Amino acid sequence: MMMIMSEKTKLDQQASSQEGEPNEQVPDWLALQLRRLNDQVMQETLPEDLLVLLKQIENNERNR
Amino acid sequence: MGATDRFLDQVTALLPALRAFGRSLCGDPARADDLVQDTVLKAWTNREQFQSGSNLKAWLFTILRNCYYSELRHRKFEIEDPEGICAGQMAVAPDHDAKLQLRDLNLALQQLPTDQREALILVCATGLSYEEAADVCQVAVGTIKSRIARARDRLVDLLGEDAADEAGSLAILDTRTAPTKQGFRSSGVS
Repeated sequence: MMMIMSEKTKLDQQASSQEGEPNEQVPDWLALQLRRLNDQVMQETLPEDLLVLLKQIENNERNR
Repeated sequence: MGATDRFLDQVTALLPALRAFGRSLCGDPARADDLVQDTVLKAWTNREQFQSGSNLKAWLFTILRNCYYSELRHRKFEIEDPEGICAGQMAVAPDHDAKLQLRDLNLALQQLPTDQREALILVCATGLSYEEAADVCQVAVGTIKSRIARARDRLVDLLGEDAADEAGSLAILDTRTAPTKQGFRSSGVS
């Protein structure tokens, strides 16, 4: 399997392994996919319910 | 602009990130939005407890996470999603390979234990530091690292050996056809 990692990632991984700590480094291709998945949701339009809720909070605060 | 308006503006700006984290936790878009609504209400109610200048994003993520686990405790039986029907809804209609890959990744993510999934998402997708993720999950930094390692190994198993090659070829396509986002191509976990 092709495991693409940046040079820094490789160095960090080596250092981590030498210290006996968990090797938590994630290959670049997987990190990229995770970010894409996250970005996909972040780029969606906010649902109306949520905007209404925020407006209600704002109005309630102003009317206090 | 008053402190109240500023607080609300900051919360509003973080809503997309909250929705993404909520969706990765529960795998269900509608339920995730309910979690975000609960989070906003709780954050507003407890806004005095938030210390100005500290990390609002981590604070909101912590609230959302608490809402999620609280809801799980109150549900006597968690509704299972063995076919990945809810999880599959995360991606829009698969009209090209990249979307198919994201759908597969999302289905695989939902097969991870929640503690591993949240650690991986917080650090690798959301961009929190290990320390911030440890604060959100209320565990030690080493625990976060261990969970990420296990999540990574399981995901690679689930996605299969071709996933890296396919992702790699799509990444090359991206650089030819789309503008590069700053920092987008780094692993974000170093």
